[in-house]
Formats: sequence, C-alpha cells, structure tokens
Amino acid sequence: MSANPSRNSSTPSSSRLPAILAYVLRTIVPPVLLFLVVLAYWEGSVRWWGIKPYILPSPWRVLQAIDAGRAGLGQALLLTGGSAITGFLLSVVVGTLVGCLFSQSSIIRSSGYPYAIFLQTVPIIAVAPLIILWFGRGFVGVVAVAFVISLFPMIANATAGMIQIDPDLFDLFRLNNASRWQVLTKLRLPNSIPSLCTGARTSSGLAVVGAIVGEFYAGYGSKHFGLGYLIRLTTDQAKTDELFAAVMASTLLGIVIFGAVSLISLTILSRWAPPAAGERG
Amino acid sequence: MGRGVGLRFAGGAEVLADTHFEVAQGEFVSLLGPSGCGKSTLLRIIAGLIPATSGEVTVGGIEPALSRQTYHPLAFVFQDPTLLPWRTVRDNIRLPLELQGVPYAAQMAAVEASLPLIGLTSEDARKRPRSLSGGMRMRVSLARALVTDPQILLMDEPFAALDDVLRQQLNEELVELRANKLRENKPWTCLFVTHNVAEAAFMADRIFLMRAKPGSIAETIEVPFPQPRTAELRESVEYARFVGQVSRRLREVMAR
Repeated sequence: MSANPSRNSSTPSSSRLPAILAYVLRTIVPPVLLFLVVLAYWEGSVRWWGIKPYILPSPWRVLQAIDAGRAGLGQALLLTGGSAITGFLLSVVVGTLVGCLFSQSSIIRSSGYPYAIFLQTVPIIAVAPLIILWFGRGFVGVVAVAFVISLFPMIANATAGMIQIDPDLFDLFRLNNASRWQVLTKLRLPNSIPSLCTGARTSSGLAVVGAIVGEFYAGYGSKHFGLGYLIRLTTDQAKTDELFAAVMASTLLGIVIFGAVSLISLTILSRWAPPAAGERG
Repeated sequence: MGRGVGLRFAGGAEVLADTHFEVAQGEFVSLLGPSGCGKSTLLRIIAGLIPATSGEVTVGGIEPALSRQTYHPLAFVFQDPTLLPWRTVRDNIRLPLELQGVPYAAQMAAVEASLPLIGLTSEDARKRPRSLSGGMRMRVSLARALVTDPQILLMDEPFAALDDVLRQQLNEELVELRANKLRENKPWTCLFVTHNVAEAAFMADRIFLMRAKPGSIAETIEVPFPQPRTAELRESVEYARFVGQVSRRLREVMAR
C-alpha cells in the first residue's frame, strides 16, 4: 500500500473533473471531516462526564429530536426559508433600484447614503419589534425584518458598481450622444453585475438572520411556525435537544441559501465576462 | 480651429494657456510633448468633452460639441482600449452605432465592413475583450472608432502601451487606412497625441510641439515626406535625421 492512498487517487481524477466540482471537493471535504471529529468528541464527552441533556444533549439525542420533530422542523424550515428568500429578493430589487437612483447624482447620493448606513448600524434585534408592529405579526412582518437587514449590502454594492467606472467610458458614451437611460442600462447596470453578486452573497446570509429574528416576535398563525419561534419555544421549555435541532435547521437553511446564491452568482459572472478563451455570446 | 485657447481648473492650476492652432480638413497633425503639457486636455476640448475657460475653439466654424453632433462626426480613441468586458468584440464595435440609434441590421453591416480594415477576423469578433492580447484590444478600439465613419479622428496616445514592433505596424496600417479614405473622397482629419517622436514624425503632415506648465503649442513643424508613407521610410537617412531634429527641438522647447 502506498503511504498516502487518498491523495494518490484523488489527484488524477480531480484534474479531469470540472473546476467547480474540484473546488467543492477541496473546500467541503476538509471541514466535513473536522465536523465528524468534533461530533465524535462531543458524543464521547457527554457520555463520559454524564452531562445533563438540558445543558448539552449528545449528538445522538439531537438526531433523535430531529427525527421525532421532522414534520414540524421541515415545515418551519420551509416557512422561514420562504420569508428569508422573499426578503432577500426584495432587497436585491430595491437595493439595485436605489443604486440606480444614487448613481444619478452625487447630491442624491450624499443626501440618501447616511440613511442607508442607518440601516446598517441599527441593531436588527432592537428594531424588529417595531417593524413587526408596523407590518403585522405575520408573514409580511417577518419578510420586512429580513428585508431591512439585508438591504444595505445591496445598496452599497449596487451603488459602488454603478459609479466606479473608467471615466473614459463615460466620455465614449457622451461622444455618441448617449442618453442618461442608455448610460444606465448599457454601462452602469452591466458594470455593476460583479458587485451586485458580491452584495447578494452577503445579503442572502443576513436575510436568514432577519427572518429568524422576525419570527422571535411574529408567527404565521396558530398552526404554522418558523425556526425563530421554535428556537424561542424550546428555549423557554428547556428542550435543549429540540433547540439544537432548530439551530441546526437554521444553519442548514443559511448554508443552502448562501450556497445557492453563490452558485447563481458564479454562473452569472461566468456568462457576464468569461475568463480567457470564453467565446459565448 | 483654435484661438488663444486656455483652460484653468477651478482649483487654480492652469493646464493650457494662450494656445493657437489651425488644422486643415484632411490633415494629420501629431501633438507631441512631454507628460503634463496638456495635449490630452487639448484633445478633449476639441472633442467638446470639456469646455475651454478662455479663448475659443471651433470645429468647422461652430463649437465642438455642436459640430460633432451635426456636420462633422467625430471619433475618439482613448489611451486604453476602454472596451466593455461583458460585450463581445462585435458588440463593442457596434456600440457607438447602437447608442446613436442606428438600426440593428445596419449596425451589423458596418461592423462586418470594419473588421477586415483593422485586421480582425469574424472569429475574433465573437470573443470577449478579456481573451484578446493588448494589441488586439487596441485594434478593436480603433474599429469601434472607425465604425461610425468619422470625419475627425482624435487619438490620445492609443499605442503608448504597445511594444515597438506592434506600434510601428499599427502606425503603418493607420497611414494606409487614411490613404484609402482619401481615395474614397472621405478624408479624415486626424489629431494624434503622442510622446513618441518617431511615431509623430512617421504619420503626421505637421507636428505641434507642445511645452508644459502651462501647456501651449510652442512650435509647428512641417513633416517633409510624401504621403502615404510606408515602412521603408523608417530605413531612410532623411527620416532618421528628421526624427533627430524634432527630438532636439522638443528638448529645446522643454528647456525654455
């Protein structure tokens, strides 16, 4: 047997795989291994020291809690995911529109930007009750919290992408008598695609946080509940294993949404301006 | 064309002062001078991109911005290729026509006609700028300028970033293109900004020597070689001597 079989077998195959798959292998496999090691240590510690389950449930107990509550968890995951995605998409649209507006004049920008920064600096946990008060203790309220927290990165990145442009390009457009609208649609917007993608990645993660925080204060009616509600409820009832299950579902949701947005960004970027040798039109 | 042109920025720095010049229709003039002498600024004033703060610039008897929109279509070639990375070569070249509202079919026909002029194949036209070499990108930039069939061609050190061989080759091609246009009875009036003496001398009918701080045209030199010029000119003793003389004049102007 060779000294390092896994390396020997993975090197030639990874060179044949598409770049994205190779990237996934390189970035996902090591943390998953670490996760399994930590999990084993955790299980062992809980059993060895006899830690009370309401302080720290073992991974096995958490797994059982997930299995027992999977219908409720699944529904909560969908509801929270739906609110987060809705809030995030609203942010993308509104953030891009605000970016378009801000790009039109430095006066508009300097009057509006401080209020955009306000969105960034206000602690979401502090204003969430207020937002819920205004938008109602339901889906709309939760979406509003997710929207408010995820809006700033979109505004900031959209604005940057639309004003950080080679001045010669503006001259080129002026020399051909381009209208303001043409400058916006044919220069500013396409130029902002990479920074919009950067903003969207940050925004998507924040939207999940926003949706969960929103659900601390609002629900979806008596029979339907999201992950935020589940987290609060299980905390109050000291059902720590179920709390763990809810937290893990939240993390999973964040990873899935962030991963999906990242993948969509990569696809968009590779079409926007493929690196050397790209010839697609 | 220009009388007592000056430009003073709001901050107080005087970029151009009391600059006088006249360029005849169909003429090729090189603006030659050290960095910071305001040659690019002068070019932008003529393009109507920035207004002069003193004096008067006219193109065909009217103010530059009006001129380029009416009687004398103008194209500008920047120092960098300034291509849009998200567009293919073809879509970059047709951009000026698209912005001017030319119908799509006419845009494409004009692009196809301009490709061979500038040494691009239709396969190149499908590529994105990022996958082209620096020289090819500059060719695309030139094609984009030529696609509008301009009467006035303003070029701001377009070949400064290219290696010498490529620069000379593009100089020769530009001279040939201009001669062809003249034969079609569509003469170009060219203003070519450069700090390379040999390049200025090879292409121009006249050279405007510029001095800096504040910038102005110090001297006008007639280039005594017949057009169109070919690569052989570079090997002649007369050309070498002329380039040497212009270089000396430039040094004297800078020292004054």
